[in-house]
Amino acid sequence: MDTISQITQAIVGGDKPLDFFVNQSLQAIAEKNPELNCFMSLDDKGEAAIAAQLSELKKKLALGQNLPLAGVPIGVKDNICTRDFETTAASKVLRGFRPPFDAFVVEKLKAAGAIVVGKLNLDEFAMGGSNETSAFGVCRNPHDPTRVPGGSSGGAAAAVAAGMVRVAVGSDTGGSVRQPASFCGVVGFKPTYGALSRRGLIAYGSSLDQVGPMAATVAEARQLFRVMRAHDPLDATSLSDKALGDGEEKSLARLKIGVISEIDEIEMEAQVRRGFQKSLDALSSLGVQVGKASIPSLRYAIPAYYILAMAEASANLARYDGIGFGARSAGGSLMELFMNTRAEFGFEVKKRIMIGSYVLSAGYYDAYYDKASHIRGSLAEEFARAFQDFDALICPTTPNVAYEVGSKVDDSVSMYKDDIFTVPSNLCQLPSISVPCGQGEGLPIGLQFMGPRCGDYDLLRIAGAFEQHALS
Amino acid sequence: MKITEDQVEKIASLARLRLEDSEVQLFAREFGQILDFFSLIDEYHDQLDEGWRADLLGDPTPEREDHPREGADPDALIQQSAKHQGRAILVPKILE
Repeated sequence: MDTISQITQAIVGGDKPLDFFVNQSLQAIAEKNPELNCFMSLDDKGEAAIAAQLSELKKKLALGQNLPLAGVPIGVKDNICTRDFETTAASKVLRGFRPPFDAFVVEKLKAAGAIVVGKLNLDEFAMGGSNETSAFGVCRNPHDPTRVPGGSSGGAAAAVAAGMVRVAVGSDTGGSVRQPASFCGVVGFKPTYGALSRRGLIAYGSSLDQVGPMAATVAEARQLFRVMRAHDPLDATSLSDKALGDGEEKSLARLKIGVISEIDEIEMEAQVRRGFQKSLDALSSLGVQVGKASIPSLRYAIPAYYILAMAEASANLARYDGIGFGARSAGGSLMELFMNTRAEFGFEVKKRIMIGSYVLSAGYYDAYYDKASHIRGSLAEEFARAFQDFDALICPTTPNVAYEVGSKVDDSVSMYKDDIFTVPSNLCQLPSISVPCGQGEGLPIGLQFMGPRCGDYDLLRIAGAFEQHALS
Repeated sequence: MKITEDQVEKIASLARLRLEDSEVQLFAREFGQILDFFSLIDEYHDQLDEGWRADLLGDPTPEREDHPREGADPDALIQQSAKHQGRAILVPKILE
């Protein structure tokens, strides 16, 4: 499949018909989706929505507008609101929900000429790391369909890996863009918290949630990010237009990269450790200075993250009561209506809502929520100190490669522990990116680069250099 | 940490969730495991001074001026409700 620059060039230059790449993408989806289950909304209304977007694109091109994504087919994770497509967050509770507005990032993508071709599968309400909690069936890994694509943006990662779309938009609360990118061998970028507007992103953990681009290459993830990046006055945590800056051009030989020393204590698969070591060797051979950085509180990151994320989830998901929008179950009284409607949540979502309610309840707030908040603050200070010495920190994106569907569903704590490398960035609002760095037994391994807050463009430059030079 | 089925039912009712009997047993087991795992944070706090404060770390909640402005179309929003009539959302009787 062509890169998004090639697609845009061919469309703007008139070398290909407007719908050429969209049709190519739809054909790939028709061939591969029955096995992989990446896309969810592929109904007649979807076809009409695509036709309407193409007609809009034609008008804009005729007016000579600058369209950096002209005619680029794109998939959007189904917890991001789209006016033209049902938006369910892979939950029965939102079955049939057609938002009356587009998310801010979708508005930006459409204004740049991108064509949304469909909505992508995920773990229900983005709660999970394997895509197995989706109410509409598990999505599968294109490298080995007996394995999970990761999650929660599993559909997005698998669709890019399978060549159904070149780029997709996911969301990342604790690694949901980077972990599936790692499992599927694509690039997944979680920007600094607030860099991309959360308006229209269905809330899970609002202090952690961030939209993120997923793409075949770092350059394309960057292009998508640039298009979506702008201050949004309707998101109180949206960063100002000037917050990020452009970063600075630095030769590889002047770069200092820190390896988090505490990762030595963390259990990980041998093939991941080998892939990581190879990446370090490659960076060193390029002249990059590789040193050791210390994040002493890393081992507390997972419990702190899950306490905070579940607490926020319990508050955010209180809105699904069957009254204002979404599915409604029958009930003789108002309370019965609430209870019956919310009985439609899946097991993992119910679990997180209940534990969230528990850790926020009187007597337990101090024992859990307050302590977790303190750990979050300490972690942020430790990372800020590390970035005084290093341009970026690196570690594997995940301690393991993609595992068999169904092999971990009965062990929540083990699944939560797998998020050890990704949750710190969400807790500390840092930009992070997962880049493929080889394979172990035929399955992709991801390398994660983490940067200082608002250092997004520098981080993308470093990850791009690694992708171009270290892997060639 | 032992979590009883009664405790699970109490939390579920506070969270407005109806659980099947089989779910109650499973949740009781899983909650115990997850809360045991969460207890790792106590090890971190044992190293802190008595007067630690979490609320002084991190950014304050952002606020904005409260100006009236045009919002979403009320008719389009009402259409989102599973049961509505004109500009009203229909619900079961609230006062018994």
